[in-house]
Amino acid sequence: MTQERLIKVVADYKDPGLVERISANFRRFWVDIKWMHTDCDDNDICTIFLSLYEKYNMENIDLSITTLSKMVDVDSVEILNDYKINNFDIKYNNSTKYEWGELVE
Amino acid sequence: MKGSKLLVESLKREGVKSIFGIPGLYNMPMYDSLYEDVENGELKHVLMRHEQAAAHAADGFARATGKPGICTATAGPGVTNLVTGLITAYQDSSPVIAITGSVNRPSMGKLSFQESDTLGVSFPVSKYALEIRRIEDIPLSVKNAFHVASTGRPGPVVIDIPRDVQMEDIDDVKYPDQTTVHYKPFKTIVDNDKIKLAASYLLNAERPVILVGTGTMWANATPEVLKLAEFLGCPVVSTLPGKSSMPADFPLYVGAMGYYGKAEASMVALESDVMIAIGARFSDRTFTSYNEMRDTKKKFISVNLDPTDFSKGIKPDIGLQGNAKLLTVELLRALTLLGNKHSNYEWNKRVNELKEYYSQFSHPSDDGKLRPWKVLKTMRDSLPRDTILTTGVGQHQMWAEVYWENLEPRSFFSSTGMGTMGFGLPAAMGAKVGRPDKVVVDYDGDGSFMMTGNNLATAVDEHIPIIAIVNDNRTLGLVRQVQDMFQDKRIIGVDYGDSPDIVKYAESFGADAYGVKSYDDLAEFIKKAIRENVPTVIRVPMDKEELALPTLPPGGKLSEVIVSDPRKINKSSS
Repeated sequence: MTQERLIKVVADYKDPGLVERISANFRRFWVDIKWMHTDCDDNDICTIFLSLYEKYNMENIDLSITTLSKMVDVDSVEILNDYKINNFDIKYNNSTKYEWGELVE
Repeated sequence: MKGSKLLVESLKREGVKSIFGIPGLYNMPMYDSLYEDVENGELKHVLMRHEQAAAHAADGFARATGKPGICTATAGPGVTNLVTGLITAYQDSSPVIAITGSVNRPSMGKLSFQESDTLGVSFPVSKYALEIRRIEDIPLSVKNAFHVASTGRPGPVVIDIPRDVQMEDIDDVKYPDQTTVHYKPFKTIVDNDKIKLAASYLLNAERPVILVGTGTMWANATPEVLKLAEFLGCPVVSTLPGKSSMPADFPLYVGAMGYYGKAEASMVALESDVMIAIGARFSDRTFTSYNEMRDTKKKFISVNLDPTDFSKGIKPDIGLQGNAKLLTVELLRALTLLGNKHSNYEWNKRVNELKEYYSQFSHPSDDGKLRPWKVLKTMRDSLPRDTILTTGVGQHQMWAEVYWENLEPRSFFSSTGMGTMGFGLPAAMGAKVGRPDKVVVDYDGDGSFMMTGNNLATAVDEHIPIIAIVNDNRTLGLVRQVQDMFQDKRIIGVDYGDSPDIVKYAESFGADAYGVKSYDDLAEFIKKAIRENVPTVIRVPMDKEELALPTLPPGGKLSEVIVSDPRKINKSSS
């Protein structure tokens, strides 16, 4: 069965390399990105939503997410549960949050 | 103050004393700012002969001292040449900091001379890479880089700085007290319930074993691990890099396990009923088949900084997250409270049986040729106890894994995660710069040695008196033996011709060089090299038919270990 996840990443923006590093993290695990949406505030803190899926069923998707949470400049990664999306307006009721590889909520 | 001077001052504030590198157009301003400090001896610059070697030297320095090693390169080929050294450090968790110069800001993205996408190249091979875009950011960027490189699981960091930022002037210099990077070193979590449960598993085990990895070395946790082993009276095995944490003469240490590890160590690991891994991830080089390990039904306790390692390969029954030293102390405290360990007499008897059984295979006769085990024994007998040994990659590395007896923590360094040929010589040079009080030996093979051997020129020029002992078999032996044993003897693309003569090659650089014909020669030349205290190469001829044993068939399990030369068995049975 194809695994899918919607995740929310909060990270410090220094340059567009941030997006490159996030993409590369998933590329290395053979996890695909269906879409992503990035928004950064005036303090260069970005909120990035990514819709992930595994085309090749490598069963790497969860490890790829916890690995991303260890990346320098990334503050947290959340797996969103029970969510609704309306034109990039994303509402969710709960999430599983990781910081530096560790489950925090 | 110029940006380049600010960069150098920021490095000095982090305690930098040595820099390995090569100047070029884009890091030249930094070199200009090094001038006075190098002249007055406050900083040492080591001019390497290739940037890959500069990164390996910084890596060797870091492993030997526990402090970040610094290398520098210019843009373009300088940066791309660093890549192999950086990923080698990344795989083995070594804190290397690379300072790279890049093209002027207005020239970026315009295919300028030697322009390379340094960040793009560096991201996949480093723990972190950053570009300094404004002169005022230099001190904080350097501080952040050192923090990231040397905390948590250590790793390489690249600082890229455009030439024109180095050339700018700043009046108001502010050095930060604190880091600001969005990064958290892994936490140490003292979970008393988990620790108590781990202690009870270990106390109630019939066949406990400790697996020691590199994390033990970086945490300086060897004394605590030895105490734990003594308390439990249980055998200790290690990963290949974990060898550096374990004194070979510790009576409970069996050896390094894994693909080319000691068969008795792998068998002890397989037969154990509780394994506590300290600072070791369960890599595919150590556990060649996860199913084989799972099938043993043993309980796994993992002491590891990185919580994501608990969900890879083997999922431990108990995961203790954090620093190996702190958590081993806590575990010892819990064990002491729970009571004394019952005797592991039967288990240790079994361990000794395994040692005795496999010892018959590990010291094959001389046959009039120099044999690896005896070469390494001769080296051990001729070198001081605290000698630092580096290796290249190949058969000799596997012989060192099995036969080299390192006796002090932090004295055995090899490229184990990346398997980078050419690591040995420059890493030895870096280690010697960091620890001039130690005898430093690069134990190498001719294939690996020749990949970075030109850096002997640097060792001579800079008076870095390392000793390179090169097993010369004129072949890429580890590949050759796979072709020989498992690919129907279809030997292809591995055998070298007569060029070069290793002794003449070394002499051409001005190094002392000797060719060995006997073990006595080897002992004599080692002693002479130590006495003369100059860069020395000792060539040890090796038969290209010699195998690195034990080994496994490709994709094999530890239980399928091959301990004796199958060609000889087949010959004698036919």
